[in-house]
Amino acid sequence: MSKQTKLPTRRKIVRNRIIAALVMLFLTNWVYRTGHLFPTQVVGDWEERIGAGKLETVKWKFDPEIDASLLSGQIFLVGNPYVTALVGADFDLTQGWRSNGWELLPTRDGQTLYAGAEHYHSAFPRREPGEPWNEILYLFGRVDDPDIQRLEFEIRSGSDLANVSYLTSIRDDWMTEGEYTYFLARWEIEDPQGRMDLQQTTAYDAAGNVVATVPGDT
Amino acid sequence: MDRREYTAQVLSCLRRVTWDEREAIRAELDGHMEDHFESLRELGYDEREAEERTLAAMGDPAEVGRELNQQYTGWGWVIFGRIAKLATILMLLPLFLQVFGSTSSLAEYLKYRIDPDFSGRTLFLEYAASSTFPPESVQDKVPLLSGAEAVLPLDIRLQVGNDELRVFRVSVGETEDDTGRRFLAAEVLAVAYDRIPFGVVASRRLGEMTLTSQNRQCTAWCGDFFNASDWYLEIEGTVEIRPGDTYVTLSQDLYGEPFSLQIPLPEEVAP
Amino acid sequence: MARKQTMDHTQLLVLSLLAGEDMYGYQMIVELARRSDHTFEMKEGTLYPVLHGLERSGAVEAYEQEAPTGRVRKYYHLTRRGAAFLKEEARAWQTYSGAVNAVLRACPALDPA
Repeated sequence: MSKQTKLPTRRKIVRNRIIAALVMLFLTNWVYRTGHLFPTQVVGDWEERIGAGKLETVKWKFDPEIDASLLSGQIFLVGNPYVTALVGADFDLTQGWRSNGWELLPTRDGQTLYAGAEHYHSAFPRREPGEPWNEILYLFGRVDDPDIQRLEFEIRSGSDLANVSYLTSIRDDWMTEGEYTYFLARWEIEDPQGRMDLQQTTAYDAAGNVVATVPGDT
Repeated sequence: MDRREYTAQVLSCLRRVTWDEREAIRAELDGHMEDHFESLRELGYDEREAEERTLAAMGDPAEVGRELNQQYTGWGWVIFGRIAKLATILMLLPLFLQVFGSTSSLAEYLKYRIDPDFSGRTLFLEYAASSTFPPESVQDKVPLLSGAEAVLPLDIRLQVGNDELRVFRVSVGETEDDTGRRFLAAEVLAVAYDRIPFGVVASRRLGEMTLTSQNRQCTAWCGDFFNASDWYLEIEGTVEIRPGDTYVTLSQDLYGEPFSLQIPLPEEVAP
Repeated sequence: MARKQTMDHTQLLVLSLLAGEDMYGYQMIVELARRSDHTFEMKEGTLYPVLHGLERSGAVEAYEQEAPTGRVRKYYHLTRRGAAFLKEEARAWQTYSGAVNAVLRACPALDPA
């Protein structure tokens, strides 16, 4: 019996190629953590990196003004009893969804307030190379004290951090997930000359008294 | 018209076929006509007659070509298949480079899972024990004075979340800090990786831990300073100890459930 | 309409040939002529659209085999789906030809010779 070589049909060839591509995509996804098809997979990666258990998504925002690949910037506010985090993601044609900025706040010390910040270049207005960037600042965190009604953020910017700005966030804007209350605020700053810091967060109760202050480090 | 022209005419009617398909049809038609031609020759016909009769028997090439073309539909799928093939090759590239590349973290990773050993990159006591968390910079470190006085290979494994922390060596020796003060210190080496191969290791939780001396007086940072890979952590830390100490404690309480691990010191620690 | 029928009954003939053994194109032409006592001598080129169409629909599958002479030929093999299709088509044909025969028998102009 001389050698027989099977001849596959066009349909079979195409089907096999598609299967091979999907298998490769799965392997690439698994081994290299790249080629993510969904932005939520980026959050999943951070869940693993932090290693403190599942992260619940408190807020998921699409922010097309962030200077991200294909203006696809996503912002996730996530948390669990051990950590609160801001995780950014954007989409690249060759790499899929990938991490784009992050800030983690471990929440173990029993504080009443946790605050952090992350900033991004703003893609608008359109600038020429060499022209300064405007920045988009995200302030986020967790409020564990039910008396706190208002937060005031002191932000310093400018080449010598001399510009001081204050941003306020009130409880009505905050979000509850499970037993915790979280906040997420967005602010645009014109040309901070590359430097921006969350200096301090002050919490006020309904009467206007200072309840807590938390130093920040961006 | 000869046989070659016949085949060419049939093939010219084929619009959306791949190169392989076209050649396969050519071979099949040529083979068929060759068979017919040969059998006519065997019957005694001369070459010209045999060819003429063969071509006549085949029928109108345009009609054959047209009907054949109708059987090859679904060109869109062929394109899709080609894109899939290209994508597969592109995705194979990084894997190839990893396996055969010079700085293959894949090889290192597999080695660490099986038999962790930092020899060749030994940093034993090269860096003075630092109490700042984390150390300010690698350049702040003071080179070691003498080699280890005692080394203890270990295999302490701890399941932390879905990762495995594996302490594999502790060494004791004398070192000196930036002020010139000499003291006895213990260096702990460990690796950490996700239990599932190629999973992401918890670099936040296990990349920054604390080493505490037996009397709890001295603490030091212990973790993976470079964090080069999502797959594994190369954990090292050096903490000051007192002569006669029998263990140091490795602990973490920043992310997730806190844990602490007692690491025995080699017995030959000189007082 | 007539064209379609020719195509269809060619399919039926091809499938029934392959029910016996795997064959390549030219072999089928020869066999067909032989079995039908030269009644069926179709245009040989038109066999291939039929074969490729059957291959596409999964009624047959193809493989290459090298002959002792060194020539490589493309053989066709009847699949299970093809065998089922053959059964269906054969039955349909029998019904059809039976009906034609019945009508012809009833025709007074035709003498049963």
